[in-house]
Amino acid sequence: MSHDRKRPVTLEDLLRLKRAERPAPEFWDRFDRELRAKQLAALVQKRPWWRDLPPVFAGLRRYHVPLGAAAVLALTVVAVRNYVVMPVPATPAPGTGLAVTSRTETQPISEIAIESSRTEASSNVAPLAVVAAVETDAPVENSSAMGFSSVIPLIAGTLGASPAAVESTPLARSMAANLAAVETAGTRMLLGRVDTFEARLDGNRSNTIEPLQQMTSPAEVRLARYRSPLVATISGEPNDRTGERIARRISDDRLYDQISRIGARGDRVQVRF
Amino acid sequence: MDATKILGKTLVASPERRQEADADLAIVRQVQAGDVAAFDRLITKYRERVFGIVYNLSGNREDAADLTQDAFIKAFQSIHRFGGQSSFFTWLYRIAVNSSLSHLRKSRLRSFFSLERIDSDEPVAKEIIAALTDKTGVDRDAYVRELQEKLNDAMQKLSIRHRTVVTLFEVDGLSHQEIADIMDCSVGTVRSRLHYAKQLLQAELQPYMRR
Repeated sequence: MSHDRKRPVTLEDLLRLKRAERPAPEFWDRFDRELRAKQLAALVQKRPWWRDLPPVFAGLRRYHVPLGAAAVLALTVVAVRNYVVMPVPATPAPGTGLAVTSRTETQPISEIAIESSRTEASSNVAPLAVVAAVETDAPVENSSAMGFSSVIPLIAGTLGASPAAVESTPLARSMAANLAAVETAGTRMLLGRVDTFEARLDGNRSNTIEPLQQMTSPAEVRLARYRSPLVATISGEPNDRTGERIARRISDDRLYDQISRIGARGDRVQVRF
Repeated sequence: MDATKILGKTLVASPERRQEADADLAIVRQVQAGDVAAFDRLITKYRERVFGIVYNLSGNREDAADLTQDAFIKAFQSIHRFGGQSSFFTWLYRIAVNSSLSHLRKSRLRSFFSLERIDSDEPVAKEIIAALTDKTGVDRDAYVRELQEKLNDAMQKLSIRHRTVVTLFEVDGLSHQEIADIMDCSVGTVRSRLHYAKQLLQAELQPYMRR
């Protein structure tokens, strides 16, 4: 027995003590009662439908993150590719006068010129041949010359749809009627006012002087300071106009050569030859 | 279900474990056939072991009781999906350990501890306690209580994964392969975690070890 008491106690022995930590027997009675109640509740409770899915996806659990990342990547690639090669409808709908042309399929949208012309007169909209330039650098006059009635198919959001189908809806008909009325009531006058306003605005813009332009750069100030005594020594007269003329003639090389030869310190002037 | 598949998966080397796995599988088949009462035998058989694992992971008796009950309920609800690829106890342990880990992650900041009484009648515990308290003038119960608290503190200082490995290996006596199956990791990972956890515990419990 004394031999047993002197045996070394290891970490494993200490951890083995944890095995001996057991609850009292009455604990298990309560445990069984609670477990029985939970079991019955689980039997009665309706399980969500996804719990009964076959365990096909159980094996994929560890691949959730890589699969999700791959799906996102694939979706991004497909979306980008579809965005770049997204074709603009190039063929007009049969029987309509709407012709939509695109320069190239991969061209940016801002460079796509959409020509729409009407060959048939609708019942309440005057026929009008229109060239709608969607280019951002297109002159404003083009857009001002565009008739509003030609915008109706574009507003409807269906470039490929026939105007007849678009105008068949009550909303399109009312919009066409309103826009035609506005057009006849003096669209050009309104747009002309806009043009004059913009021209006035441009004129004001050209007259204003930027504050930065009024500032003299330090380099110019320094150059003027160096040139003034130099010009005075060359010309010998204090005439501003002459001095300016001479200062213009002096090359930069000569200027800096003179500066390096002439030095002033305190009450002394030093000239090197 | 062929028993060799179970053996190959869980490396149940000893004949006792093999018989145990076969007996469990037979009961599971009864439950799957509709004999719900047969599940009670599995509860009675494994409740103390599962409770021991969860208790040593959580360090709290009430939480351990709840988590053990939840593990049995989950096993009962999903028993029709148990195909026998692993032994029943590995499957049940995996449910219990995953529930415990999930619970511990959620309630990491509000955990409190309660200690169970050490069964001093158990021969191994009796021997160890006697070896630790052979010095004169030592209050045995107070010393055991202090050691128990120190053990619990040291265990709780380990990370959840290291604590799980130590509990399954040292307290429940599972093999490395069984732990790897339960924790869904490699045997090397289990060994590495066990080694690291033991180093930390050794440093913490040095005053209580006797050479």
